[in-house]
Amino acid sequence: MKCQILYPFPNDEVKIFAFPFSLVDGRMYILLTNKECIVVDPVNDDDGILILKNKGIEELKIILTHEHCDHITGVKRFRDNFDCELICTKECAEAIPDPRKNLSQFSDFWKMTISERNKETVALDDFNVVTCEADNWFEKELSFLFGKYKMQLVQSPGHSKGSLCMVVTDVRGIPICLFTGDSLMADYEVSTRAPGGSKKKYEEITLPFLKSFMGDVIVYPGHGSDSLIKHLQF
Amino acid sequence: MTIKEKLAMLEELFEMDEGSLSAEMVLDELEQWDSMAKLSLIVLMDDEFGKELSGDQIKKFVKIQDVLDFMG
Repeated sequence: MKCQILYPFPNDEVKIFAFPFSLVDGRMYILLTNKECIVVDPVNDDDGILILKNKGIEELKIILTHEHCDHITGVKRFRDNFDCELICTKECAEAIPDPRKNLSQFSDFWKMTISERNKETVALDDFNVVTCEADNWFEKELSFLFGKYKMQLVQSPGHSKGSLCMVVTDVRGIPICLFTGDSLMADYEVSTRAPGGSKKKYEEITLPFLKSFMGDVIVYPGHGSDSLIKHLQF
Repeated sequence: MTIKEKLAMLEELFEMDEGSLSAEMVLDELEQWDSMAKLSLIVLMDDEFGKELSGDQIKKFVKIQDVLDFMG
């Protein structure tokens, strides 16, 4: 799994590693300062672990943008290698221990769908039943510091009950980037038709929140390529 | 359950307006018939009708009528 290294922060204070998960064009992101690390939507792959090994990481937070199985496959692997704190919304925390609610129970369906899309039968071990548990969950909003930056987790229901976006702002309070999971993607339409999805909540809560960002804020989605928010139509 | 009630369930699942779905409509011609909708249909069949809907069965569905027939 080849990763792309991104430097959206001044003076390269924070590096972002973007790992593609080719079967579903997914993305895991690793944000790294000197001693702190945030993993967004961990994928079951060794490369992310290798990047962090021997870095002297003292604090590793796992953030789940939502509860669907293609966004949690790597949780166990990170937990096996690091002392992790997994943070997500309350609804996501309730869903991820349950294969039916995180949709991994329907692994045969995923395998069929992905095999059709990839026009071949592929090894799909990542789509076996998967579960995990949260260490910390929140309702509506949660903020914490990461280096000099403020990380703001904001509930963004619609694609799923437990969706969130992570906003990164600098010391002046100016937003730099947004990790949107499946709530906003440059390359794909947002679907609210999954179990637990709600078009109404997406339109009433999440869309107005997303539309409050303008200009050069970078959107890092759960699938597909990143983009400046000003280039997105939604 | 009447056909109208079943159609209403599917309209809600597909996020379509009430009364906009008919039995003769072809599933592949509906933009709402995506993988997430199919997954929701699997859950709906289990929750509401106690029926296990497989991926292979979904592939055999051509029209809305086929889904209604499966509901029983």
